[in-house]
Amino acid sequence: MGFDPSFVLLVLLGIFALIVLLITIGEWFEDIESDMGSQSNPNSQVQLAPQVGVLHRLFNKAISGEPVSQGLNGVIGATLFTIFWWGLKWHPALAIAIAAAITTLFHMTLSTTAHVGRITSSNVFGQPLYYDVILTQLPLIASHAFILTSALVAVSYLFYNLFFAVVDSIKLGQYLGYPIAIPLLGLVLGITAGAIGSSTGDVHYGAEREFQHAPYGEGIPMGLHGHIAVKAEVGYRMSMDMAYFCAKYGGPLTGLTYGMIILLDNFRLFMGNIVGNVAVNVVIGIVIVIVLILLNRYLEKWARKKFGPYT
Amino acid sequence: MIGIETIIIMLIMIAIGGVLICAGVFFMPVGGAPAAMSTATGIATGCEMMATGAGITGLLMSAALYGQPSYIVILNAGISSAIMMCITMFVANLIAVFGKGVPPALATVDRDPVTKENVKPYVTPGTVGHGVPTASYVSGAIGAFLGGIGGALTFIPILRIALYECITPELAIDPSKLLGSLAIDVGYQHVPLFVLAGISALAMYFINANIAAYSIRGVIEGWWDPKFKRLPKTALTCFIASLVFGILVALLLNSEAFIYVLRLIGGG
Repeated sequence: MGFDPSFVLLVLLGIFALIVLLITIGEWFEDIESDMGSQSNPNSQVQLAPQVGVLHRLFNKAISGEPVSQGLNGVIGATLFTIFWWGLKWHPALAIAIAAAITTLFHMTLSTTAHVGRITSSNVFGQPLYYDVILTQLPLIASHAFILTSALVAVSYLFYNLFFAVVDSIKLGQYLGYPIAIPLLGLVLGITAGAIGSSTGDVHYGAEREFQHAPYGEGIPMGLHGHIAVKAEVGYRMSMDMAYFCAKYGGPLTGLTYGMIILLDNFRLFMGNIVGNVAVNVVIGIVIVIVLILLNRYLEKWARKKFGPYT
Repeated sequence: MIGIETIIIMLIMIAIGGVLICAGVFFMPVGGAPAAMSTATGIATGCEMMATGAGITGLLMSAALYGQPSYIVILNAGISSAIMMCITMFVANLIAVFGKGVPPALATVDRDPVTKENVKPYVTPGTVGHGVPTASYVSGAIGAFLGGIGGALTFIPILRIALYECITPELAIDPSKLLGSLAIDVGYQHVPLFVLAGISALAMYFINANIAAYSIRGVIEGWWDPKFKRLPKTALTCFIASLVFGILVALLLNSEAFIYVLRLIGGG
């Protein structure tokens, strides 16, 4: 049965859209997961709090930097997936789910040991180790990590398979996909996910949510460092209150960042390949960079005019 | 067989790649942990992670365009990294402006080096700036572009030498083949070679960004920052470190055992 070449391209666009969607959702959950575990840069404040006399009930699982931790998740998940799918010939959907589930167990183990170790190290400043904090936050961290890992593994699988797929003598690899093995793709996509999550979403958690008693509209002065908000809307603040807050703005925007990167970068590859001229890639890329610089300038001017100088 | 000219060209490419990655890190507005609290200007993550995160986008692009002439692959990898960095910095600013209500501001200079605007009044007392102002933004885009080029300069020679060793093991590799376009249709069996080149380029990011991070020690705003003056010495260190790394790669690519494995892969 022969397909119309334009139909094949349309299906390819659909797969591309699926990749962008998966990455966006995965990164959204990545940011919330790191906020819930106080994993990335703002963990310095959670670590500092007991030393300045602020005792808290937050989960602190800064095993390592966020990129390395998510890269580990990605590479464990993708390696297990490769074993199940390629070695044991399981169906990819089943293999993704099982691989992500086993990876989550690794992640939970690391989270627990990191939290217990970090909190007991602050014990000399009077910080207690709460048993219920571990019991209530750990399943939430696990569920968010599961969604991220399954998204990373699914995207790695799609990218790899797209490159070698042949539909009706049309090689899809000439349009999209990377000829890189799935475990390495999982590792590099995970590292990028962590780098984006720690550089964008963290600002919402660290600058706003941890210091909600500080006035809105100022950066956090050095003198306030460590004095994080420990009271929640109801009772003492737990890490799930952080997730509740950051899921409204920081998380979605982080997801949008990674989605936009995958979308724009592959869009220019795709357009260049369809036209058959690499110069198109370069021109689209330069236009995107210039438009982003202008957008940033507009945002900066708007914010300075709206908020005014600090008085 | 790899000729001595090919090895020298590969070593030069890798060493220049290392210097470019180092320079790229110096251009990036790295804010570290204080930037996440809007206490410092820049992006809220460390040098290595930012350089690696941006570089990976370029690496993926150079893997997708493996068959094109080298200069096109290198240019595209740089642009990919710059796009990644620009989007990340833009969204970081969106969160700083709407999530915390602070306008982007610089602390080390009175006037923004690009827009010539007076930025000092917008800095909150007790902080050293917040967000990513236009000058830092442009500096970050340049830095990511240089970093992406550096990664591609490592990726291309390693991949091509391994591919030629694998496909035509009996012929000496013509040095011009490292730079021109590649008329090879890769299949499943060549994926390990992409992994080898990818891992090597990833290692280059970690090595050189780490050396640069020791020199930056935390926070840098862009090319006007006083810490930027440390670039020449650090670049020399990175040149030597990358050269050592390149020699290790050359030893691997020249070893009997590795060539035997490559022949098995190529079916020769």
